[in-house]
Amino acid sequence: MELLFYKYNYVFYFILFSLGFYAMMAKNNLLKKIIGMSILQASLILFFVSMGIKNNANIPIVPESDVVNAKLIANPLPHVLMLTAIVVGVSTLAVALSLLQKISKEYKSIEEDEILRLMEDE
Amino acid sequence: MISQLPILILICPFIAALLIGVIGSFKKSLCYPLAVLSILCSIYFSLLGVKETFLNGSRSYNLGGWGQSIGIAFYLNTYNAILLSIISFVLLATVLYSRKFIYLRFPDKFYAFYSLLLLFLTGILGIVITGDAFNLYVFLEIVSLSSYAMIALGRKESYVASFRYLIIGTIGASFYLLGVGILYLKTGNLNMQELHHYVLPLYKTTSIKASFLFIVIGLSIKIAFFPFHSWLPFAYSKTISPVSTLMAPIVTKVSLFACIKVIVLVFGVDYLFSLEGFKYLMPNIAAIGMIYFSIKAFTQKNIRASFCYVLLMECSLMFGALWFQDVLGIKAVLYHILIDILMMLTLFLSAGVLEYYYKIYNHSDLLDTNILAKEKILLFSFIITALSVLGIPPTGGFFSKFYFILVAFKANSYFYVISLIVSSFILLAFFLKFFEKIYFNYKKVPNAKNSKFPIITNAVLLVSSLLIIYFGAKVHLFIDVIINSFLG
Repeated sequence: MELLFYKYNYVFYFILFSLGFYAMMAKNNLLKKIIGMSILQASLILFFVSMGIKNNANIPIVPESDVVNAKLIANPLPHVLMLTAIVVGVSTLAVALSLLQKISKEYKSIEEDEILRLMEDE
Repeated sequence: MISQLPILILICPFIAALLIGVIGSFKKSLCYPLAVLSILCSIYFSLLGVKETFLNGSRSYNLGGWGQSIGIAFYLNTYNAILLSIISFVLLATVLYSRKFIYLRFPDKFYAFYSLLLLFLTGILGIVITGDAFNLYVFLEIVSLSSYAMIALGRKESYVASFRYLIIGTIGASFYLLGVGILYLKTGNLNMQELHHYVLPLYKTTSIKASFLFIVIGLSIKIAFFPFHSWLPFAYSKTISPVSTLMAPIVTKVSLFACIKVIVLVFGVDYLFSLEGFKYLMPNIAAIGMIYFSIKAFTQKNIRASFCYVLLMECSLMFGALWFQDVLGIKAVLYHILIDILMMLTLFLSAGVLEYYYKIYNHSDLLDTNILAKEKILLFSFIITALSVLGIPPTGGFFSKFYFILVAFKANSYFYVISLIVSSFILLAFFLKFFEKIYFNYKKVPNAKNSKFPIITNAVLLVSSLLIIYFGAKVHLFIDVIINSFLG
């Protein structure tokens, strides 16, 4: 319990993650599913970014001839990894939105149960 | 050049994908030869890799010359290289047989299809060869993104199928990323072989357990293991047939290989063997899945949909056998991955050509055709594949099923054995239903000697069915030598 209070950032990301997961699984509206997907990915990105942070740490630019104290420099690697993850997230979002556009053009609806009913009718 | 081999396998289709995307709009005639050439290059380099690693042992390659713990490392061993060449072979087969189909279907934009296909190939080869946990995620997403786009090429149902695949696939990849994040948080490293040394002292901690669970759940969504399978039949039966031919054999199997790779290289085989609960849970879930999928395959009307359920049954079979706490089980799974890629290639390729040349979509359409008189090679390879799916001796499928049953008996998992046998009998009934329509409703037609298919399709079918028999004959070489090169 004390740990939860101390590492409250992870609790926050966990709540965001479950929020996104719930929206993707349970929402009927396809646009809301996409919003949930964005929230899920954002929570993962925040999770990674917060890994690199240290108390009283400086930016990771090191003058060459200096002796480096690793405790005073934020870890840049998770931030760099998240650049890739952000790109992946944006392209997934783009594909999802364009698919949604196609669906709404063909079925005139973005409610999942209505679309499934229309598909069974044919 | 030999020292650069691992990256050369990957870079050919990648450069060709970018080139086709750029020059495709004004130089359309170049696209198809360029695609074929780049896939041929990657087959050549992977075969060279098979020879090189078989003679001189496994090799690692550090991208950009960075050290293992900083940069990205690629690992090439004999098993890897064989898997890479079979995957490239599947892609080559699809590109060659679907040329006319793609030209007719997308007269203006066929180059975009080839660009997507080569990106897909790059991602798949990357998953197989990479030794970096985060890099695996990136390649997984490259594969998924190009798959979403390719699946949506069909009629309007395929948009919904693709959307559903996108939602479920993103959840799978996110779970995997979460697992990798926890691993990084605990160890500060992402290279698979180095991660193993950091994970060893942490075996009992909750965070390692959590990351193991997240990774396995995330990848089992991609494998389409029993409760997470609903995206697969919908997506693969609604899209156009070339796309299902190239994706159905590869995607689930390569995800399974990625799962085995993470488990074996990062967590270690000992960690897998210390999980008592999984030993009882997973094979039993797989057993339920096997029976469910084989019944579903029997009851489908559409040919391609029923093959999708055969594929799902094979996936459950393999993923269940992973948890018997026996190295032989893991070896048999790795061996069956190779066989299964070839089997599914023959099944989906024959479904695709039957759709295109004979307009056969459902099982009932098989009744009034004269395939028997014309398509001898199709029937031959189809029979070999059916024998292999059922597990009958001269084919490779027999040996892997034999090992699965052996390992399951050792682990006292009788429910798995029983459901394997029962589902094999249900699939036997399924294939008999298929052959009964072809053989017993056959009318003699004059002048029906020539095959309607192009010669290259027949050649591919013949080669893949002969490879199934060849792999069956060489089973000891695979189990004792080649797979050991991966397991170490």
